[in-house]
Amino acid sequence: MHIAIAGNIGSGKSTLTQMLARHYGWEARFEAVDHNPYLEDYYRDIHRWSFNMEVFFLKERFRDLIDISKSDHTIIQDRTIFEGVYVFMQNNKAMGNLSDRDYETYMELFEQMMTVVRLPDLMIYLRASVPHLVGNIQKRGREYEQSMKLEYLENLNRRYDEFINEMYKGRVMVIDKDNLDYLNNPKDFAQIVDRIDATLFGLFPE
Amino acid sequence: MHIAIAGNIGSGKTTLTKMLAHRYGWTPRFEPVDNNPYLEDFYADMKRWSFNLQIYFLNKRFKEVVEIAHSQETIIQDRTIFEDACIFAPNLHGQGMMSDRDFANYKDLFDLMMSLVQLPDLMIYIRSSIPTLVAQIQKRGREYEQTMRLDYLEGLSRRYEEWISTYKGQLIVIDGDHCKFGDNPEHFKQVTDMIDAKLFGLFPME
Repeated sequence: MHIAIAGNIGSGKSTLTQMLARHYGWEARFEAVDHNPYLEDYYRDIHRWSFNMEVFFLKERFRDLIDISKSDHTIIQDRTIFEGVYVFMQNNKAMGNLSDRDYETYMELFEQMMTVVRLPDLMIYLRASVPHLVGNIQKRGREYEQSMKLEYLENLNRRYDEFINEMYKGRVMVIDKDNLDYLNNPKDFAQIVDRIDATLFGLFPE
Repeated sequence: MHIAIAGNIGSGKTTLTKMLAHRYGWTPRFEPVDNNPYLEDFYADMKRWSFNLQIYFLNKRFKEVVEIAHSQETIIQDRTIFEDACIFAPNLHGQGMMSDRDFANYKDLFDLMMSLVQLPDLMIYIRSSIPTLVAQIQKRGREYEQTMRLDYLEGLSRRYEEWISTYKGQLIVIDGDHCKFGDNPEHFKQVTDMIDAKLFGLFPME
């Protein structure tokens, strides 16, 4: 089985992934592209190298998806190919980092990939307001995240909602993160587990 | 069922595809003529556009392979995905028109795609010497082919031979220098005898 966790920067994806992996005995997978051969060139000339780098990322995430589908145990994945395409690629496109032609080639490639793989059995989307995200980002204090603009987070939040509501075709569970503190409050975590149990194993999935 | 015809430029792939489709009642599938949106730019600056062009082609071919796999009919295909990935892209790379990095990226993607699809049930490779190819290229008189360089054809021929020597699937090799299937019914029968033995025979030839 394949469970995916999606959510904006600072929404608590990794924490929830770890907690659910422990609770259910699932294998946790985190985004791991350890070497990107285009990165340096990309930062020098985004417009020139966007397509090459995005194809590289897409290919690596496609590989993850294939690996997961071949696995005989349940894997819970922090961040999926879908966010790469429906959130970050859309954002790149809107920022003009990529020509229409390259964008179309990329999307055709992604759509073709989707015809040969299965969607995750469940996508858990952590929806959080910008203030909530900012609180988490400040708390974890990763230096490179501290200069992030509010506008950027807002923009991504909008794209996340579009991705979940309009683009993604698989089964989704939305968790309203602002009012849940699953890390510190066992009741909140239990509530999430109950919903997952009902959806995955229950007679009456939500 | 999926039958594939491979061979260098001028080897007679299309002729053989049509004849076999007619003879066996198979559905022929020719190289898609839809315009690759990168083609014009590619001819103006091969280094800059080779990766984009090849990714576009690769995806179209992959799409075809998936469609053929899902089809109920027996399809005979003029030109295969292997010729893109094992002949033409490596040739661009070898000529310095595609960087190591882009080629590795492309090849990885191709390998992933191949891990998800089956090989054709039968690959028919037409092997022809350069003089035979040149004679046929002259005879059909396609204008854009008339300026082709000899060393280009030779380079491709070498790559075809390398590829076919490592090809793992069911394979028939036709000697295009001596087997004039297009003109001589006896010769065509030799081809269909080989196919019959391979596909329908009790004791397929090895």
